[in-house]
Amino acid sequence: MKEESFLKNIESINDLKLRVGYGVTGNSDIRSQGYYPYTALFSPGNQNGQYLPGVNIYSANAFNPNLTWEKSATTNIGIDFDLFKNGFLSGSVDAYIRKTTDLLATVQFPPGQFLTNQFVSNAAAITNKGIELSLTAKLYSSDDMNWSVSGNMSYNKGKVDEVNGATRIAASGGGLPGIGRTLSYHAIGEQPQSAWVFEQVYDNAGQPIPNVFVDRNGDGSINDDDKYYVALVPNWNFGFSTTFNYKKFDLNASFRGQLGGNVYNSVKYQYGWEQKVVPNISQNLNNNLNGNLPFVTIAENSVVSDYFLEDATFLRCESLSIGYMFDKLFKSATLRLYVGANNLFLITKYSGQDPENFNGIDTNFYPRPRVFNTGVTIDF
Amino acid sequence: MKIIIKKIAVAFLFVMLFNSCSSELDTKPVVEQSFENLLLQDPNAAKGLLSRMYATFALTGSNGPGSSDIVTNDAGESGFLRGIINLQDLTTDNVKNRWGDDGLDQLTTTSNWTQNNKFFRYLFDRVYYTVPQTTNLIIALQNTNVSEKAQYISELRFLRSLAYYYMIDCFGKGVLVTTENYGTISPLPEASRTDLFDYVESELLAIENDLPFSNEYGRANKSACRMLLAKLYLNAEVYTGVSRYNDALIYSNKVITEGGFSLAPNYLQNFTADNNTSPEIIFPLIADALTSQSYGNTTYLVNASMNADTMPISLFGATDGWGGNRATKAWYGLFGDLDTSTDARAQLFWRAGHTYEMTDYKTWTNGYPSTKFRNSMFTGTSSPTSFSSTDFPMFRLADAYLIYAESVLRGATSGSSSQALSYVNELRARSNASSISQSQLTLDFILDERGRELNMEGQRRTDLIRFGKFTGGDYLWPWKGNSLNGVSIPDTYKVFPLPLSALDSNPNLTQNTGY
Repeated sequence: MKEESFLKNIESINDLKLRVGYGVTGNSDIRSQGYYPYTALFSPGNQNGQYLPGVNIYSANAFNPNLTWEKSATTNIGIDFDLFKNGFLSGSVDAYIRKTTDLLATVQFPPGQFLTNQFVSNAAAITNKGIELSLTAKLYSSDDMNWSVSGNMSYNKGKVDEVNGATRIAASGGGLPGIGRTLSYHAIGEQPQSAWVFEQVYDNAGQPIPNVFVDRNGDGSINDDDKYYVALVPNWNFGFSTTFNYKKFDLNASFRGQLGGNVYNSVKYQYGWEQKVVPNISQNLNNNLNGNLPFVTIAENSVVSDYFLEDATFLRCESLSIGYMFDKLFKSATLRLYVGANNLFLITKYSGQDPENFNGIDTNFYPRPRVFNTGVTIDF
Repeated sequence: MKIIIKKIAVAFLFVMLFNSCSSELDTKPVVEQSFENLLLQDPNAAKGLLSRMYATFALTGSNGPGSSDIVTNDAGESGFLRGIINLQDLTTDNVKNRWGDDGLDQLTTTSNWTQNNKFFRYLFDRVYYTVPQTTNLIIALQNTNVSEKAQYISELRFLRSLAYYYMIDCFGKGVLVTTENYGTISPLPEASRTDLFDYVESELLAIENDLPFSNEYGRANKSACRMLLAKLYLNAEVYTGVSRYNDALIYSNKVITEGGFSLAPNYLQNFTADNNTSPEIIFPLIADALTSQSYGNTTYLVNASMNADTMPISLFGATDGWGGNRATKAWYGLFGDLDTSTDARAQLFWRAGHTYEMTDYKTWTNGYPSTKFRNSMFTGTSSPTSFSSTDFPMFRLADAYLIYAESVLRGATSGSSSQALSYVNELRARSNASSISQSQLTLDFILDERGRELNMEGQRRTDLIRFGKFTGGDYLWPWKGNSLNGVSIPDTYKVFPLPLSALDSNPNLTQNTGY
């Protein structure tokens, strides 16, 4: 576009490109099965899985003859730009609509009409719409000093269009540990992977009242019809980094974060109730007492209370390093000394360990380490 | 030189890629194969597939105790038989569990039942594993020339009916998957309790003549089919609103007089590791400590009632005491004073270190564990194992006796009350309990005798419902309605809620009233 006559002479525009694209990609990744289960197969049982004496047992494996590719059709429009003197500001903006159909997912089949209860199927259609922005600014540039900042921000919002004639299907990885309850679903009209929860009622002191929930449909009883959906996945993600050089000093930093999104604090539900921490239940030595135990025990509906959902907004300092360069140390050799840290700090309101979790469910995963390092780099 | 090296490297890379690709494509599944190939390779494969269908009631999967045929968060606790015991016994007066798992507590305390309770889902999903699997095999067998296929198909129809029986009894509705409509992709319509009843009845009547009087151990015989019919008819008034006590009597009588079974001389012979020799068991679910392992078969019945804290579990053939289930006084109270009772069945509780009352169902020492199911031999010899070798007596002659007697008391005309009395007294005499007189033989007595004889055999809830004592406040037991001395529970608890996963995947299904 820079070559167009109406732009050619504008000096502040170094480069400008317009991109429009459309593409369909396919996905046949069925990790859980390990093979493409489209036809009837039989497999033998093992030595502990026999039944009638004297005959080798065989099982009819479940299969789905109707399996097909998952398809994603993406329409994309984007602008790349490089503006002002010395490439002061460059970046790109992209907007896209991605329609995914025949989403491959393990879902519950209508009872009795399939060889087992849950199996992989082309189960849903989902539309994602979003904008991605990335910017790099060379704020200052001279022989002695360079400073540049770059950042990116993305917005994405998904919507479940269809789930095979049903109203919702369980999202993969959306089960709560140990208890056989599903937290997150793909439900029609909602964002994918939304938690389906009760609205907790709190007392005047702000403590949740066990097993009391808002009767959202006003029918006088509390059941699953009173649940609502809360998106776990954040709509906004961002990251930024900066590089600063002054004479022989250099400083690099990068940050990452999300705005919105929710995390289910399953550590709290698994360990944060009275009967779990009382000492006379010997198997529960892994107490996780945090001084606030509103529940004596947690059962049934309490498990899927929005009390356990927390805002997952965060800002994380991914890395920070400062260095100093000794040049002409020995002939042409240079030496750089630096100190740095990874995962230096995390700013969040989340009460658990880390708001950034797989599938939005905090299952007490292995913590991200905070790493400090110092180093010397010698170049000859 | 460099270029040559690069070329060789590229060529090498290609060869590597190409090789791995092509060999992957050439690979034929080593263990998984088509039905035709399977039959060519192993002439006994059809029987292996039949064995598999019997196993759906006992094994959670055919690759050892950690495997599961259905997708579940815990293979072991999802087993079919374990589901039957959990739903039919834990929910009643006879046995309570102390583990406190979410879902299990609600069964033990008959309170807060919801469609999200995984234990309801387990049984539901097990039924609807057995039903399509047996149907699939029936269809597959029809197109083969396996010589025994006619009988295999009859047996498969029996197994499918048995699975449906739990749908009728526990959930009171469902979907009806048949050989004819199997393969339908769109969700099938809801089938009412009567629809399911009529189908199961017609299936069993259709195969009754084809099943042999005697079959290999562990496989269905004519009497197993008739027992299932008798149980269906006995509960017909609950299931369909129309009583069929005459038919219940006719079919229990056929079992008793034509089946060739006899009471084991000793009650306990039906519940030990060598109970495969009992002449009384009409249809067992097989278990073996080595070759047929499951956390969902009798291993659960034995181990969950054992705890090394208070019991010498190796005496009962167990190495793992799970310390979960104890009987309540509503069971052992049926024998009167346990110290003086002569009834052999009254001796099958572990009392040392335990209290008669169950003031806290979560405390192991509250209530007496039942030692009726054990993994030791009848003679007392014991070689303890993790898994149980005791078979589960799904149907046994004693039940047929009691069905006969109850049907007479409920007005069946083709039997006689003197015969009813003699059957009941035969059972009592076998266990060294005192004989009763004709006037003592009442319906209430039958219910109590069924408790004494059949508790922990997956029958109690059905019995209490048939006698009108499960719901409401007429009959209370410890922890009924989540209260120490028991409180009334609503009539809607006569059936369990359908699991949410079923309602979500088949929009034609509607929830049972009250849930």
